[in-house]
Amino acid sequence: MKVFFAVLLCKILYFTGKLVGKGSSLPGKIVLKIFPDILAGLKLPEIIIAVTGSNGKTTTTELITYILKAGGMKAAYNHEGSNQTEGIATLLLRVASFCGRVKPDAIVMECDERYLKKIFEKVRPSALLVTNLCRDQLTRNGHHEFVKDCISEAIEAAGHDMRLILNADDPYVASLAADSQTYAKDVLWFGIEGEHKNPESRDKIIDNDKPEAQGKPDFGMYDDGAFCTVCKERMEYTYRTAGHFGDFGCTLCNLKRKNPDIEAQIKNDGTLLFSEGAKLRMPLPSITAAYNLCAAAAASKTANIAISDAVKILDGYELKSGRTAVFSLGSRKGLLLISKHENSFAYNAWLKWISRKDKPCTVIILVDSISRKYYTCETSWLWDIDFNLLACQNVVNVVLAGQYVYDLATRFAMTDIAPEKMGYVTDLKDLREYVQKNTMGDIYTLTCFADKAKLKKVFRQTF
Amino acid sequence: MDYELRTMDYGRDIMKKSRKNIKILHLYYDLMNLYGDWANAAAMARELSCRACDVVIHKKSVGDDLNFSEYDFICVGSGTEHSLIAAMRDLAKHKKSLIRQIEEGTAVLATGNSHELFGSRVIDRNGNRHEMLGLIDFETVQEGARITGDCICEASFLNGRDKPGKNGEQGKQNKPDEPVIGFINRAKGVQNGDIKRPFYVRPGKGANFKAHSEGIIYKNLLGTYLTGPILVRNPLLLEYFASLLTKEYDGDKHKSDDVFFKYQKKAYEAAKAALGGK
Repeated sequence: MKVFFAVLLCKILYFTGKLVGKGSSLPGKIVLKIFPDILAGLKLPEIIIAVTGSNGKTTTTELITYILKAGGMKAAYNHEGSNQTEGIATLLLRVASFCGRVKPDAIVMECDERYLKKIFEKVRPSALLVTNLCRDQLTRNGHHEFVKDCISEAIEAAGHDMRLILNADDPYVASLAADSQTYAKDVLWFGIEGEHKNPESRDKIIDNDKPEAQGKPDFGMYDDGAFCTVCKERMEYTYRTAGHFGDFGCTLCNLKRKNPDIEAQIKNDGTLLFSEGAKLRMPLPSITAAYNLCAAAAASKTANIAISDAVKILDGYELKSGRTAVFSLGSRKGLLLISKHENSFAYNAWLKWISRKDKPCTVIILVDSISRKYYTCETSWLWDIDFNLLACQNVVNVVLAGQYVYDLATRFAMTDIAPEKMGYVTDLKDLREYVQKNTMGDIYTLTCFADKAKLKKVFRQTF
Repeated sequence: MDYELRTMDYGRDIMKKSRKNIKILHLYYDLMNLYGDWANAAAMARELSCRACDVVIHKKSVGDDLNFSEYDFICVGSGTEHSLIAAMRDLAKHKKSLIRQIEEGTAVLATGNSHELFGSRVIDRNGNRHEMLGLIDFETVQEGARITGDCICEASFLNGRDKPGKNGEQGKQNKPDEPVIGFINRAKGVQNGDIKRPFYVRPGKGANFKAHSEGIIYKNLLGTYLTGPILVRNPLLLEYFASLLTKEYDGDKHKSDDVFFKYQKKAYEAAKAALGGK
């Protein structure tokens, strides 16, 4: 009876919430308040894949679900992105029958890194995928070593029958297996092959270090791959694919890159070639996309879908959660590049991409609210982003805008970008006109989800 | 590894007479640089280049030769809890020379958890004791969770200080109520020890649960749990540190011409207003 009411309540709340455009965590929150143990009373499917990590959670969750569905399974995921305990509760209850059977054959759940342990107390997954660990929302998360410890505790608490799917190229993720010897045996590793074996991949990778990138890095840029996360001795790399990802090895302890079970190469024609020989066209030829696709293929292997089948399914797939949008300003072409505030990895990837364009362009950086979920005026993350990459010939104008325009201005004052290229717009109402009158070339706009809607208004477009 | 990087030459057009050579050390630049702390070295270089100085920044880290007496200003930033222990492991080799320099009055800024290096010890979340430099008598006891948040601090050591005037003349006095703004991001825990504290945190948490005081101050060493670019975000604090090195000014002209200083003040005012400061 309890289960019947809980499921009914959640469904009603979910659909009314949908009508009024409310978030998807509230139904779960209310149901959990009335029936705190309700999830234990559900009959769950055998395949439950949890997805966590700093970057790529949403995309990878979507990709895995797509593969499973195309592979003939019924699968559900938290597509609205509510990834804490309440969001997971909403997901499970809304797809449950009134007698408490979760109907799909598989559940794919995006989980917040910090809430993993709490989620696992309610729902024990069959597999856990960790995409990567980078500097992300540090005002909330502390730092990525702290996040790693949170994930490590969740893994310990989950018990031994949970399969781990780990990024072999990320030393922070790799050390999760080192933390727990019992798991080391049952890890499915995925990774991207370095350029030393595959020099032709170079030009097409948008966020890979390339010597001829036009801007010089700022002198204070961080390197999270400098020291081993386990023993803090110096780390060495034979190559890197991006940031601290690559073929790493500690100079003291035994932390080093494991040979991936699922490995792929980025080819010059924008395809991703898996070690099994299967090949797919990437929606966006980027290293981030390559990792997400590779991770999704690895995860579906735990649901008994062969890599070659997964690759066939993923070929040419267009993401629902798109990260770019085209717009126009008069005769000028504009591209909105969705990044994440408080996440230098995402910003740097786009900045490098822009710096390699040939045609003259204007770059707009908009920081109006730092997060849509909480308030902070912490701006130290701006100093982790390598804005000096924009000190290059093709970038003819840089326009800073939003409530944090002054903080942005102090950051840009420390770059080599010529002062006459810079523009500052405090009131967003003036942005459109300013850009029209004072800048030239294609327009690249970098901002966060949090500020996307404001840009829609500025450029009077539907993205 | 010695990274002698580009000279900060933003003030290159100013008069060449009697320029002072200043060396800044960004210590553990690749181990303790978690929240953009490098900006403090860059901001100091910028300020000093407006004060008739030729500035060079050295970046040094674990295993490098360190001669602290070379430097006029040393800054060290925030790190993870593990990184702090690794920094201490390396710093132990240089303990005597660093303490000697601090005693002799070298200006040092330690942001975030790096100021724990100057205490007696750190007891980590697993109960392990790690001996620190022992310059100041306090110990840090860490717990599992974290404390994060924006804060406003009263900093009485900044009050009523003389602001340098043109050519070293007496300038006007700073108003006594300019708070320091910033963000704290640290392991939850307490600091034991009855020591002098530079900051009184109004909204935000102090070094201990009960008290609102925070940070360390000893001669020209300032340490604080405030993380990252505090010399960028606080014009007054930047002037305070620069004045420890030189009182001489090239005149306000150069500073007012520089977009950095123009927007630094505006950013400060905006953040102060947003945080509800006076």
